[in-house]
Amino acid sequence: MTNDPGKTERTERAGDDLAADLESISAAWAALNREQPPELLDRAVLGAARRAAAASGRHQSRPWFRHRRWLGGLATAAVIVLALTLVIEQGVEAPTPPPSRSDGYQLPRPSAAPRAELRSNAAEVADTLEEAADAAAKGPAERMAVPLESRAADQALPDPDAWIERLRQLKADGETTVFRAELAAFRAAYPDYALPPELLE
Amino acid sequence: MTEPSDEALMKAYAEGDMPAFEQLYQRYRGPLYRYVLRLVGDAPTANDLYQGSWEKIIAARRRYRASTPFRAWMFRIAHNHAVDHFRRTRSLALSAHHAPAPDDLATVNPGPEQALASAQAAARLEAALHELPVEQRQAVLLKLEAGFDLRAIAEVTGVNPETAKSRLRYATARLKAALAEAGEGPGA
Repeated sequence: MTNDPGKTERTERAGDDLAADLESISAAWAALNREQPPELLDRAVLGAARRAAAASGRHQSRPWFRHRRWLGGLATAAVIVLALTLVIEQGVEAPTPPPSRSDGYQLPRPSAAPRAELRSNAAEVADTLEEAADAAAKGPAERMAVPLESRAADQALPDPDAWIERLRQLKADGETTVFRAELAAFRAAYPDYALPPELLE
Repeated sequence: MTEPSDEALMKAYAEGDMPAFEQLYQRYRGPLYRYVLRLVGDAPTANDLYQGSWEKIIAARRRYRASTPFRAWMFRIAHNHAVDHFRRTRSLALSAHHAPAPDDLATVNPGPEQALASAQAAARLEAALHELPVEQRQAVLLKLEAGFDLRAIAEVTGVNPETAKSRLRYATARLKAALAEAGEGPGA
């Protein structure tokens, strides 16, 4: 690491100059610095905020047992699993093969495939049920900490860095229309994210 | 009794607490409005950007993390929104040439404290601000309106601290010179 006393001194002087300039401007600035947003804008912003809060409140205040979408899914899954379990456990009555026809034609025999498919479906449903049970085990407060709408939105959003890479690619490929649409979508999803300058040109 | 922090208010609002938002809005309506007004230089555009910035803040409320300082987050959203506006209108370069005349500024933005100050000096300062390249204007506005330090200015504008410092230094030197020309600044 180099030690340049001259550079350090210049940096400190520049810092002092900046501080002094800022101080002198701040005093003048304070004299002209009092505009406020028009009342109409205040009403518009507060109205939008109120509507959004009401929507949040609805999600927050619903008791867990009234989340019928979740309960409905669980009930359906339970019924399907029960039905499939009965079918699998008892077995499907294999029909007695009819006597061979004299002309040699054989009726098609039921294959093993449907049964395998049933098992596979049953396993899938069981997984769904297990996930639902896990969710239930977390307790209503924990599940409701993040509203359903928000969870769905978060899950749907791509990772911002990956999205920026895609935007770069679209721009490089000259896909102007798609690029602009996706850029707008990105901004809507991540309004606080700093975009690289090359995407803003 | 201590006031709740910005971050606590924003988190409360994200959970549906409207009074928390009202409190937060009262804290920042002035600084944010003046930031966009002085950045773009005309009231109708500033009104659009101001409202749009708040709408984005409201829409992003559930993604806000209390570990992020609210003020920086809010100004970053406003900054990005303004940058998009400049990009759409291609006015990044143009805006520097649309400085209002000092006389216009003195009458367009009257205020009780402005009336006490020298109208000519205030107008010249504001005119000088609009003659700055937009990046320098952003840096000095974030300093003077939002009270950010260099690190926060760099973070909000998406540049490194040295670049932010350089922009701020050029901007303040020019504004100081403009005040001196008005005959009322410290350099006069």
